[in-house]
Amino acid sequence: MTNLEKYCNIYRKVFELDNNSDVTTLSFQGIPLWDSIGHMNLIAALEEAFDVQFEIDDIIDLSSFEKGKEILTKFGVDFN
Amino acid sequence: MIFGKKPRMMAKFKKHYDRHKNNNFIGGGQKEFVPWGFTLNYDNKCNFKCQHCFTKSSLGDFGKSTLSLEDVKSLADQADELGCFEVDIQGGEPLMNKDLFNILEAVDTSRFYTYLTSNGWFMTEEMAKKLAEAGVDRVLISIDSFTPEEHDKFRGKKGAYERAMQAMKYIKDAGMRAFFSVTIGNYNAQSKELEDFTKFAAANKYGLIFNCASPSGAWKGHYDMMMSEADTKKVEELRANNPEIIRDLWNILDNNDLIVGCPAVNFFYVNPYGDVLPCVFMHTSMGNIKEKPLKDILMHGFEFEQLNKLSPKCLTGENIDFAKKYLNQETSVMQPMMIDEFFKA
Repeated sequence: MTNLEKYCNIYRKVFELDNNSDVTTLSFQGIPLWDSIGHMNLIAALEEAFDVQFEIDDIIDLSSFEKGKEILTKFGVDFN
Repeated sequence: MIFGKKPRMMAKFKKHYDRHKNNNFIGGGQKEFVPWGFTLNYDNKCNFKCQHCFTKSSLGDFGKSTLSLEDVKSLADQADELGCFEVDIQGGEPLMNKDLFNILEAVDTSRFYTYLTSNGWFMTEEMAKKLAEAGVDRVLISIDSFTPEEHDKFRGKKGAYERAMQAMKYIKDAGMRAFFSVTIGNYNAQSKELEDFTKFAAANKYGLIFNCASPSGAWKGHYDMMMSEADTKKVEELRANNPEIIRDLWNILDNNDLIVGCPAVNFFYVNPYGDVLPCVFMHTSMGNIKEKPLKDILMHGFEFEQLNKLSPKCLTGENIDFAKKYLNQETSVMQPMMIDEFFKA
């Protein structure tokens, strides 16, 4: 499984979406489950899956699927 | 309008979460003094007469709040400093409270994951929108049965079920998280009705919070309502199939099957007079916020071995020895016995 697949699947699991759903356009509060607690669920799942430790600024900045990729790239996660 | 990510709240939440994670979520077998949230009962007035009311508002135990908005602000400021990131505004029925929006302002919802526990009777589309604009993240609507007649009978109000369901829709449409608050006990934990209800909630993207039936308040002495080990096991099974079910002693983010244990003291309760109780069902005062700093009050409560040891069970709803020993005393939410006396029992 590539990092991108892993990343997509985290969104599907945390936000209880179908296995084949498009997650690339997701953003904070764009769906009911992505509220502030849902956001912390996402952060915890990403930290565990990619073995990273986010700073609070990263947590605030992570406002969309795409932004999350940018932040994880900063931590050395390769999405290519 | 503060409806958004709430950076300060998230920073406190992250710190709390990391602390649990580093302790493998169970504090290494030790319960820690880590206040993370509180319930505020500013006014105990209610329009329902629920059979199991732990505050006894159903029996007319209304009293009158002596807390000022300055007291509420001071409480919230102190709780914030201690790391609390959640606040639950309850009653009575909070939507009956004409000071509700002033209270939300005094609390400063930008600092807390803020929710209300309501029976839903007074929820309208307009009210839901106003609550969302005031920074409320989640509203819990209490429900006791999936059968409308049963729910209405239990709540002592005809039409309660219909209004509760309508309220859930308004809450969701306003962009807040809509949760059912369900009391679970020996009478329903293993029922097909509860199982069906969890499926209904999941299908409609509603969350579920389970509270253990506890023999306190109007249900004092009703030990037969308490959860058995088989009931607890069944609830754990429901949890495995529905991640939207929450219990306060489970892992805070509920992304695995671990528990953090009974949160008494760490998730405390403040009554309309300013008395601070260890939890909603343990009606004993650790001190009053108008007399002492909140930190001193909570630390005093944490001195008692009944409260500072890790308990994987809800002390008031799943530990019958605890319940029989301590909950059968002459005490209530509105007139709580002082803690030194309470634990002498």
